[in-house]
Amino acid sequence: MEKKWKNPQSIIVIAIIAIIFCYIFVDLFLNKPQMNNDIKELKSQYNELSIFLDKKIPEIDSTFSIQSKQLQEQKQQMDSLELTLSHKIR
Amino acid sequence: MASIPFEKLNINRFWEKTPTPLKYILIFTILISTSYFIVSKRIDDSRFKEIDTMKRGIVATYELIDNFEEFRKEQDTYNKEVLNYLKNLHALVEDLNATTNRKFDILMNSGNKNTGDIIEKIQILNESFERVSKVYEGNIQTPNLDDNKVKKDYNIKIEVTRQVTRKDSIK
Repeated sequence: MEKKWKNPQSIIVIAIIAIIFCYIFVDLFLNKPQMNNDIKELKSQYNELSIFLDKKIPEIDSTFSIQSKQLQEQKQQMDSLELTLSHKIR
Repeated sequence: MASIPFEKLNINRFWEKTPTPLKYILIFTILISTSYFIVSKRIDDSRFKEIDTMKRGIVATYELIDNFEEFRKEQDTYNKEVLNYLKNLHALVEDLNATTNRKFDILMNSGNKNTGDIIEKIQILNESFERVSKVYEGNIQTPNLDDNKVKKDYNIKIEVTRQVTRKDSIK
């Protein structure tokens, strides 16, 4: 029985099994961390974006309020012009 | 014809001499490794797709903010131009009204007076035309928002090296 386990055929099969398991372990412990690095990088990019948005969103809000004021002013100017014209035409 | 000595490479003989537990172990190992690579490939692919979508989302957000900035600048300039235009128009209406009244006064008062009055009338006319040209010189340009494209590079690269190694390993 022991002889059967030590013959060349058994050694070749054991080597094949060992290579397959080694490959699985290499894939698990060397290649997977690369994926984790990608996720970490993405997380840092998201953090940058959220910081950027924290600054930008109030600016956007203020822009809308400024533009609404400008539009109101335009409306006032147009009303005033219309009033002047109607007076002059009369 | 050269014959290949297949007898020495006989797989049956090789298989026969291998111990039975080892045969089972080899078969299970092959099954486990195959299922591992199939499952891990699917997981990796879905992860890559997810990461890719998230990166595209980040870039799209930056692009959106950039476009908004462009829009804000152009809209602000446009609004200011419109306001300025309306103010000038108002001033022109007032001026033209005053000038017309002055013209009528001069015409009524001039009577038979000669060249001096005529020159003054021409000058008044010229002033009016100058004012008109001032107002219409800078015609308002409406913002062209279709051309707003992001030119910045945010250095977000989608890495494909991992995918390549995975495909190679499966082959």
